[in-house]
Amino acid sequence: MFTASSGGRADALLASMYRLSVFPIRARYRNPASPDESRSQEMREIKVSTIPIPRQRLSVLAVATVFSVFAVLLLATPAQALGDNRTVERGCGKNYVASGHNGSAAEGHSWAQTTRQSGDCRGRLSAALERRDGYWSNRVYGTRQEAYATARFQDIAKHGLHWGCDNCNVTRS
Amino acid sequence: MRIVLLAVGLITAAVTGCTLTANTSGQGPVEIDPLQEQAWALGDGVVTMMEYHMAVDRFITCVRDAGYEVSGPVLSPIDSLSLLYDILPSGEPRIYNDAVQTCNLSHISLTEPTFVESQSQVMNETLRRAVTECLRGQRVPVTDEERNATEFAAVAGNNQVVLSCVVDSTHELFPELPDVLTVRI
Repeated sequence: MFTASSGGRADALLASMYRLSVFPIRARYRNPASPDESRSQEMREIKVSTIPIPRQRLSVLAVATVFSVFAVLLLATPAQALGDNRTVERGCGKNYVASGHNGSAAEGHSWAQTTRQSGDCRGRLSAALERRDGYWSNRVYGTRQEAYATARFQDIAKHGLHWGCDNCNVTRS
Repeated sequence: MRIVLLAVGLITAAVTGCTLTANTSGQGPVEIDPLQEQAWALGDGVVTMMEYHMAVDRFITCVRDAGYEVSGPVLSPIDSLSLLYDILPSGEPRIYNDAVQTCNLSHISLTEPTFVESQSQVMNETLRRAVTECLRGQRVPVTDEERNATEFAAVAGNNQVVLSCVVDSTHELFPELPDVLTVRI
């Protein structure tokens, strides 16, 4: 790629590449025996020294690929699944969220339950279900103590949906 | 060093991506004030049956105006108070969910529970007998005096058993009903 006639430009290009890179070639490049020898040595050394470049880039690419795969898996995997029953804490108290499915996937029904555990939250509890395709069932408004939602989707729901008040953010179970 | 930086960047991107995914799927419309929107029915502190039915009509109109199909409301045999309907989802789920939530908060989120809680729930007699039998099969000591899901739950001491019996019996006896049922315990 670098010819004798374009040696000066090549040197400048190489020098800028070295400044930007971490490749350990500079010490050998600065020690020519004669101009001609130095040119051939330079070329030879450059050829020898370029061997690690693609290998390092390959390792960077490999790491990038591995992390990309992890990222895709993380994004594709839901954080929770139906039945991730737990206590959810709010500033004013605690609610218990639970969900599940009764019967067969095709004929049974999924359910979601929001229950007040403690505290003095004023909001009305509500619940719904999220289908596997992302659509939500009708939201069922319960009392300050409890809310139940049930739905048949001809499939098992993906998540239970829970609210501690009308405008509260949704919690999935 | 480069690799470490690259790894940190990718992990950050992955975590951020997850956070964004979680936050964008269904935060719902937060700018609506349900109390203000439903003040016409709640103003005097009482929601009558007529007001509740009007609220459901407005809700259904709202959902239809948003472009989704809704079945006509039918009276629930579970409590003889709630109106049930099916909404046919379509299009982008997040847009659908937000549209329905907007209609909820604008029309029925307060009026429906306020009306139902002020009335006595009475289960359809055929359904009541079926639920009684179902619970007996689950060894729940029902007395045959229970008239609604709340009273069944008080005897059973286990809401899940009652919920299952009520929903299964309802779907069996009234297969034409919407797929989403409301059970208040």
